[in-house]
Amino acid sequence: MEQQEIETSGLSRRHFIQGVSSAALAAGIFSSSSLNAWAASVPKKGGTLKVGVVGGANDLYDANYIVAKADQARLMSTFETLLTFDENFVPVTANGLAQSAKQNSPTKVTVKLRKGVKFHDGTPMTADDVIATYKRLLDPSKKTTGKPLRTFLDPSGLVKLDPLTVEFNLKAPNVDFLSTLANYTYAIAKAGYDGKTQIGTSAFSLVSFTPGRESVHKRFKGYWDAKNVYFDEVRIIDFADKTALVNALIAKQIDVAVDIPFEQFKTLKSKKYLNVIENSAGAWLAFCMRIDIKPFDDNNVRQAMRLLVDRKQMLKRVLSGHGKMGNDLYGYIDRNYNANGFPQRDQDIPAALALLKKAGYTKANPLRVELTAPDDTGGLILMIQTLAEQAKKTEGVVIIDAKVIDGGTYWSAKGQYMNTGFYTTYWSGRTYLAQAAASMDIYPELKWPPADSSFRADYLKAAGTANAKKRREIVARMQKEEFEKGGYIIPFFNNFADAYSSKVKGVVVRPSQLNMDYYAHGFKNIWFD
Amino acid sequence: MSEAVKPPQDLVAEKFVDERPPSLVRQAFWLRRTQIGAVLALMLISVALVGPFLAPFGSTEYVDLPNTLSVPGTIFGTDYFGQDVLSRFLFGGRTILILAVLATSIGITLGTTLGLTAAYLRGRADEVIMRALDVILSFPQVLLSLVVISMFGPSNVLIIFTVGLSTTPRIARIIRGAAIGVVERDFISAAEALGESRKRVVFAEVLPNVTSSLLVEMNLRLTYSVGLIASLSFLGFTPEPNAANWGLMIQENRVALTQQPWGVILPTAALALMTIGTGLIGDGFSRVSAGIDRGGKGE
Repeated sequence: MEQQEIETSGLSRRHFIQGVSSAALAAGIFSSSSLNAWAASVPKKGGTLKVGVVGGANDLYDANYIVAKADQARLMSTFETLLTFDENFVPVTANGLAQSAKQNSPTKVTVKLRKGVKFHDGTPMTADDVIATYKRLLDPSKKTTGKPLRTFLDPSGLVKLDPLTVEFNLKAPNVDFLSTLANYTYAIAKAGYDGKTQIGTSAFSLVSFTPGRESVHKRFKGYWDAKNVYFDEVRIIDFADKTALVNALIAKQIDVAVDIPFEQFKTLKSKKYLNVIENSAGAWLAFCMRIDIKPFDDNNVRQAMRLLVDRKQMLKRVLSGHGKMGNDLYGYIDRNYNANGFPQRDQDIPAALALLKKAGYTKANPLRVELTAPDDTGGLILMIQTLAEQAKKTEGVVIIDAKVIDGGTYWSAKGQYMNTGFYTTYWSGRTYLAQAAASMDIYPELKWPPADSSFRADYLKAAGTANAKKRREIVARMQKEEFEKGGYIIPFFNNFADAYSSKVKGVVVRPSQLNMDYYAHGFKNIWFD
Repeated sequence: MSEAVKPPQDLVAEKFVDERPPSLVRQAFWLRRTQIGAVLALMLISVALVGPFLAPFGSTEYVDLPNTLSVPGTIFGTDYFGQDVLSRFLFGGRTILILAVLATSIGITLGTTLGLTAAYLRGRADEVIMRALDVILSFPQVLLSLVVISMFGPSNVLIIFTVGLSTTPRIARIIRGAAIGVVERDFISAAEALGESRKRVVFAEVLPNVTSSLLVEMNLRLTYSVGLIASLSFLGFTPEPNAANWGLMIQENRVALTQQPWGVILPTAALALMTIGTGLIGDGFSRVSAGIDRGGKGE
């Protein structure tokens, strides 16, 4: 944030220009055709939108917790957040429940709620509901994504000033707290929400939900932004795999296919009755090396592994080129991404071998490691196979044994994920500090930072530093440490793509964290031609 | 054909012994169907065995952007993972073929031994062996293999044994059926009277008289094993995730079928031709041994 006080109902021009030039234009995904289509089509009411997602018996329904894209779609169709992100990942009030939000100081944020917002049961949304939601997020006994919030906020810091005003008093300074309010899993549910009865404030209220099959949502008559809601009904339909999902779209059984595989990209794009949109929002896939497990406790090994990767090839091979090259740093959407301007790291076998020699690994004493990926995440399987193949260039000094593990086992509490030295992970796009917190505290994948590091202290300092320049300096220091000693190998940032029937109009194409531009904020703002 | 009426089994056997007619294999190869089958099978077997030496790229080597049809230096473009489709195809037959042959050998050895033993011993031993095999037989072959492999995890040795074991009861049934008639014949009693060991009686006296059935069954089971192992690979039950293997190739490339069909067409065609080939050979054998088309020119 540039200033301490931000009125999110307006958009600072500087933010806008900076953001467009960096994130959006670099992404190259603004298509003029979609803008034209929007201009040409006059919104019409009515119809049932059928949205296809890959899901199964593990489907969740919660305002504050998700695992898979099916869960995201359902969360977004029922619940709304106080703020939302614009295309530059600046928090704004559009499509949010806040009338305005102000960061008064690094430790104080005031949120004024919209008047006339009603829950699906007809009761008005008030400050009590907001406080109840954030208390739920702060409650360690509840399964939510609220853990990073607990670094900055205690339940006692939530104060109701009047029925439509909430004050967040932070226990540790965080000048970017407005971004936290725009986190899509920090959606507002009715006070007393138990995760079972899904009563939100969105444009569509839940009628029925069968995990692994379908959820049905009907238009909510009391919706606060009713003029921008067009469908009578939305159905979110589960498919067992992406092939079935895509086939259903081709056969016109569904109107939207969320998250299509890149293999199908060209085929779907060539069909006249379909539109394909691609989104680059800093999502990433990575190899994790636990800095406390042999042999990765030796930084020489970690750095050597990073130098083994032919990122250009990996991007082509795994994503068919649908992404951006990575440099072992996360937070692509952050304006402080690669604040030090480190040059692109690329495959350098001699340098890797020299580092490995320092660590004691030679042809006579090779480094043999097992690398695992879950069978439920396509890109990760290809990634471990590619790396195993690329490691062959060391001519036997590094031997990677790539193993695909059943997803249920892999992600379980004692599974390969987070419990072994060398495994894989995926994340959606976040700003740098949000990701640093998530990687340290929600999912401590690397056991980062090392004991003698100032990384955590720097993190807290950066979160509380309002001055953008000073903040960038701290972030640069953190990134330097990660670039030189970290345990992530981030070969690329992956795009994601959706396909939908060309009779669906109004779809916005811009960088966004979730598919279909945040599932069209609960499937409003779009309509059938 | 002129000899449409099947002569009694005894007469055939005696005729064979007395006149030393051309062997079953030679007779079978007079048939056009066997010839075609042999050509097809040989073609595919040579692709499987020699293919890896002819492949322009490595089996897991990166060539170009995945699922691209026109890639310079390749004939069929790249597959789902940016590898050369042709090279993958040339590499992909060997594993399936070797696994299928080994699995079939296990099935044949076990099945024949059990079938002959049951037929020769009769009585309680027969009942015990055949009922135990019926238990295995009651499971569909694919299901049995799936259960075992998903329990212990896929490894080549396990695949060979599971597929081999699942074919055993089928072979044992056929062999027992063929041997039942043989064990009652006089020369067996004669051999027993001469004091030959039971093992020798079974394998030296009974076995040579059921070879025709055995040959037919061997071909049939090989065909089935190729199909079964390819299906298991297709379902993802392979030890290596990205191994070049025709069954796995179909599975890997089917998503991009509309964009890059060769990754599916080549292995499918190969598997189809291979099974048709071995099937035709087996058919030729069975026709000859059953007395249909014997000595004829085929159709």
